[in-house]
Amino acid sequence: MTFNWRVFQTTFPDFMRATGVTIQYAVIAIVIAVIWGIFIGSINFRRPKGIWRITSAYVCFFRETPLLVQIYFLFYGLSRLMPVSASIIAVAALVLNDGAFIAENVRGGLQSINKGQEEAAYALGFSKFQTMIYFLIPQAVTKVQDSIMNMVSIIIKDTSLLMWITITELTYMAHRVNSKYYQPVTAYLTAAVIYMALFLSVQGIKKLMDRRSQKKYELSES
Amino acid sequence: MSDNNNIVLSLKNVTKKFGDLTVLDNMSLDIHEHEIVVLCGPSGGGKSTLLRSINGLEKINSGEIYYRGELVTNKNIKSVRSHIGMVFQSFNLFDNLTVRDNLTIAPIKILKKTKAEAVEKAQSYLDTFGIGDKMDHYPHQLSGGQKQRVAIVRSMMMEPDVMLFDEPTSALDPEMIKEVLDAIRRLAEMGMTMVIVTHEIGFAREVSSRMLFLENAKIRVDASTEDFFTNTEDERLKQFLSVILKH
Ligand SMILES: Nc1ncnc2c1ncn2[C@@H]1O[C@H](COP(=O)(O)OP(=O)(O)OP(=O)(O)O)[C@@H](O)[C@H]1O
Ligand SMILES: [Mg+2]
Repeated sequence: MTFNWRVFQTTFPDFMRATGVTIQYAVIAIVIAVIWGIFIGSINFRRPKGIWRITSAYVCFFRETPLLVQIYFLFYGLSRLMPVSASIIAVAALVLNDGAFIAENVRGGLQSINKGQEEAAYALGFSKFQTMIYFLIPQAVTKVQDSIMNMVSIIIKDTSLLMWITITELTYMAHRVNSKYYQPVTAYLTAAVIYMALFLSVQGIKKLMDRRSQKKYELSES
Repeated sequence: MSDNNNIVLSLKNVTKKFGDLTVLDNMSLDIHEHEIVVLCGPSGGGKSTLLRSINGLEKINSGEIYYRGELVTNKNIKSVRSHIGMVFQSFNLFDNLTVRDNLTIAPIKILKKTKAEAVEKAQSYLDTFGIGDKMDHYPHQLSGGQKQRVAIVRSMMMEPDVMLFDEPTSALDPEMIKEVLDAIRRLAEMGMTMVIVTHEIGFAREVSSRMLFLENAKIRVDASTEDFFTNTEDERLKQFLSVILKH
């Protein structure tokens, strides 16, 4: 078994299309998951009566069960209740799963901010909600920025499970190419290299972001 | 002392407990316009709790607090707070914001000032307190004394009616204490009404018009500064002063 360049060339456009699908799901999922995670993390930090029991149970369930089980659960469970497309289920599963991890990070970030800033905000006349929005959440997000970027790489890999509910993403494409040409090395190595390239791009973006936030501090140093 | 029209803050029979521990015991107190009141007393006497209760950071168990004759309730607490400046021992600047944003966010969001207006005012206060070049710094780039002066300006930006200080210099290195005390002296010159908890007894004597001695959840002595230091009959206060003046 070796790498078959001819198969690679003929299937390359398919792989590119599948990569597009993977990126699309990863980007949509991470954007919604961050917002969702901040929202849930803030609730679990504030612990409003009643609600936080539900939200913390949710976080526990989605962190402690396998993603594939969650995907199947939503795919077969939800689609029985209402007509939803596989792509909606796919995004929902990624958001609910990764959002639960982000929520825990955000909650931890919020808890690590000293109480004094919150009191200073109240003393100036800010409401609890304003205090969260202007002071606490921005600081918590800065603190968990690194782990959110790690989450992006995790989400990219997670999208490979979407093949099980017929999403034509990158792993699905590798599968299909292999079953068509019987070239597992070509099919899976191509997919792996593309995943790797995506990972390195994410790392690059992360470095740029780090440098920018460092600049922001340095500008005012002089 | 003076008529009721210029009472800024009024506490009536305020009791505050933490569990079984009574920290403020049926306390009554009026603070008049332009008064500078210094609270002193042994640790655990309830000084911080008194200040924190005034602007609702602690919920009192019974009694009433009035701001300008108006009963402070859950409904009006936010607007009352915007008239009461509070300076904390540990500065409590917003770490995610530059000095500029620390100073202007409350006037912009709460008082609905324009940004230009707020920045101009911030600059003029910073200049007054000798830190005019710190506008674009983040809190972590400032010394303790600079942070505390920024915190004072942050409160002043709200055009407060009264300022509360809870041990504003206790977290500072000795060489920085003076710059913060000088800032408070400046406010005194402006006629700001202030309630100050401090162990800087020399400063208290110089700047205050009235002194309170708090011990065991009660105001034991409430006197003009002159009488407080020279004419007191109170044994506990004499003892407290003799210890603190030795330092
Ligand atoms: N959140 C709290 N929960 C329980 N007890 C508290 C709380 N805050 C303060 N206390 C207690 O209330 C009493 C009064 O505290 P407070 O901080 O008002 O005293 P203080 O006069 O400011 O003392 P210090 O000079 O040490 O700052 C102390 O016995 C303290 O332990
Ligand atoms: Mg105290």
